[in-house]
Amino acid sequence: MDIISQVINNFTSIDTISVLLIGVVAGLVIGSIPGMTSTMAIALLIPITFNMDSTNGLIMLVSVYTAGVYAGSLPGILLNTPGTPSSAATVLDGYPLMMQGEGTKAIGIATIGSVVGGLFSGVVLLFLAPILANISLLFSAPEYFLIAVFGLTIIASLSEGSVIKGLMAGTFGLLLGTVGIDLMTGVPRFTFGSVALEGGISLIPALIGFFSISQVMMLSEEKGGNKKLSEKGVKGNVLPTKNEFSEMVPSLIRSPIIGVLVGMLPGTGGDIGSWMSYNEAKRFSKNKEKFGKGSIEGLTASETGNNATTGGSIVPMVTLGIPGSAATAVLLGGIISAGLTPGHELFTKHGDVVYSMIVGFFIATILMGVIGLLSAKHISKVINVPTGIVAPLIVCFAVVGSYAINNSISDVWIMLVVGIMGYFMRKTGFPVAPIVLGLILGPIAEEGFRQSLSMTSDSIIIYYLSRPISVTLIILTVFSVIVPVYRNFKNKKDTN
Amino acid sequence: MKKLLLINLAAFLAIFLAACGNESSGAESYPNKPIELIVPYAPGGGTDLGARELEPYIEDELGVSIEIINKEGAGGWAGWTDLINANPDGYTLGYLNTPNLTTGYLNPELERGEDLDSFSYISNHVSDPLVLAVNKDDDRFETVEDFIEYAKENEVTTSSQKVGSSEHVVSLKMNEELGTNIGIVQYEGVPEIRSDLMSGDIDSSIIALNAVYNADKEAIKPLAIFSEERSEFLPDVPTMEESGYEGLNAKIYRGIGAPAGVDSEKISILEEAFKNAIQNEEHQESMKKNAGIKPEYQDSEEFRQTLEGEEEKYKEVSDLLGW
Repeated sequence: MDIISQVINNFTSIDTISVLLIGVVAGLVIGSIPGMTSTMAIALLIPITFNMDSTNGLIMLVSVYTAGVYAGSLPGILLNTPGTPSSAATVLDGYPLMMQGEGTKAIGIATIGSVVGGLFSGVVLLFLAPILANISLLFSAPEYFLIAVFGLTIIASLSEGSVIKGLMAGTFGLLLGTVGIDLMTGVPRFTFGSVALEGGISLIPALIGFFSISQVMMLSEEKGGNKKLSEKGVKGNVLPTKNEFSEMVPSLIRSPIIGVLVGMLPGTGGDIGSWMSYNEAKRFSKNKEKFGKGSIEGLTASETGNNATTGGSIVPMVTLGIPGSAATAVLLGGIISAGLTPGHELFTKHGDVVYSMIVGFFIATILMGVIGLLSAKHISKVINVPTGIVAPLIVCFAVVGSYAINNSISDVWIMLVVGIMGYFMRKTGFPVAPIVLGLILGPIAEEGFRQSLSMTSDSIIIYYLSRPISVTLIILTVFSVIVPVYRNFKNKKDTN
Repeated sequence: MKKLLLINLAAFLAIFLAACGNESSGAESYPNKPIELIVPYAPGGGTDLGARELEPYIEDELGVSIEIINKEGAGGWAGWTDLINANPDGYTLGYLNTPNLTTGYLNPELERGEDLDSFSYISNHVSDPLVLAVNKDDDRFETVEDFIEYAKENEVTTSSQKVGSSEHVVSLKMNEELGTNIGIVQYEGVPEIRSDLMSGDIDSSIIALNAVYNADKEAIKPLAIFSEERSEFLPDVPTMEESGYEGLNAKIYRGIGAPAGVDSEKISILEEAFKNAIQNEEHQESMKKNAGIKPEYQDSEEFRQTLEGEEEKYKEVSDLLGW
């Protein structure tokens, strides 16, 4: 009772409300700039929180986190340029919707999805944190390997048109993922003596290159500079119709669960949460053909999934001191700087602080939703801007964003090279999404498998089969490969 | 068109002249403009947080602002490459961390041309000893002796952060000198190590003290510390030497350096400023309380000797590492 009144007391103070507001706005701004991630947003604000009351400081940081993950979707939908890696999958359907003149609605759907995902993960954080934290401990190297493999099985269906081209693109993505110093042996792979490549191909410049630069090149060759981005104009409301909403529902239920689970694992974050949600939405969808062309289900899944990782990744951080993502690793730094030690006693000893933080997370999630819905109509007018203005602007953002992520000019080169590569891929009908998936999941699969080899002296097969979650994941993966093949086979037989 | 060209030219000239203006006033009194401090790791990491804790005290001492620039990659070498290539005018400094600095230029695979002469040295900031920790519920190990004796008869796994890390070297030395069978699992970062240690997926962890200090203390049991003295953070945990295992001590250091060739006068000014800042009691307290890490000032000369000592240590074990 004492804690509840203290928490309520906190949220009636002007200070708390204003830091929350500042946090949300800062998150929205920073998240929507390509190359600036929510992780960076938190890191930038931590020094400011040093001089604050620790509760307020943490409220500000979680507000930045949740708003930053959401805001990454905005440039993704508007300009085909994901603001953060978490929004890469959002681009696949968000941008096509925008081009169809449904930009306002796309932002509306992304906003609803993000708020639902965020709130669900907040509820989980509030009521199930200790139980879920123990579940997260059951995941280790073998499970990471299997999750990544499971995620990769979707590649065949991510490719519009030719499956062979999709698989080739996916394999190329895996190959790109091997660049850098080998974790297990310390040997540099495909670095060509460049220090910049020792850490691997940086994900954000690669994403910007594949999605935005290749897109800009397509735009500038297709249209004259005075033509609008799309002739469709802006139509429709922010809120989805009843029918559209019922399309969203399966994703709104499935994706938060996936997002929270992915978020809880220390090796994975919002990027994987959104891809996994997107993959599963497609796997179970009745309208698979719409994916990649403006599917409401797909957009909902990606945006719900990435925001659900936010609360999910705070779960092991507050209960075990193990951050569930890069952003929460920084947040953990903030918690420690505030003089709190994460772990079991955080909830009992500093209950008022932790519960205030969680309540702040809820309010921030709703607030960002309100701001998003109110502004959707205005920001979707980007579509009326002539290509001759938009294209150079995107290039500016792309260069600044790639540089800003690590103050590195070599990342700008990576972005440009990857962009040109993406352009020729689009030209020749190779899908870009499988490469990105390969680049994200490949290193997780490799690291997980090789770590698990050094974790046991038994046979590796026995080791995997002795772990219940591994077995479940193996079964899921086998099914996800066999079922579509079987269906195909049956369909062919029937038509014969 | 011509008009545009003219405007551009004018703008260029203006910037150029402004830049020249800065240059000429640079020599008078040092420092008189902001100093860049390269942190070769991600924002929010241990080095970054430590740097940001120290930043205001340095600013007070020097009277100019310090701009922290995060440049991660290649285990720190992305940032160090920038540092080495920076103008040695005293306005670009950077964190130098062991063991990555040492292993980066000693590992023959990486074919780097740099060595300790590529830098100037200002001071050490913090040091952090390694500890051997196990899962609290693991009944096999009550003491470090239990662990070593068990590991002589059975295979046990332990964590390390990347090839050639201090953790890695200590495990290899233990296998070599004590006859243990420690299997090393390489990790990318601390969170996964903690998670696997808490769940029992690995038997033990050799890890920097502050990573244990900041973890859930109900879940992790430190058995021994790899330093000459016990730590004030873990007063009940014996040193390896107390337990009879000599020659295994290992610490990580984080200090401040600059590109080679900075004036000795400027170095002295910086040395003095960092000395006062690092030894400032407020800073000492907040580092201990917030980070579980102890600031340990060493002057320019001592810091270089420390790094030379690290180099020696690695040369001794180069055959274990296959270098």
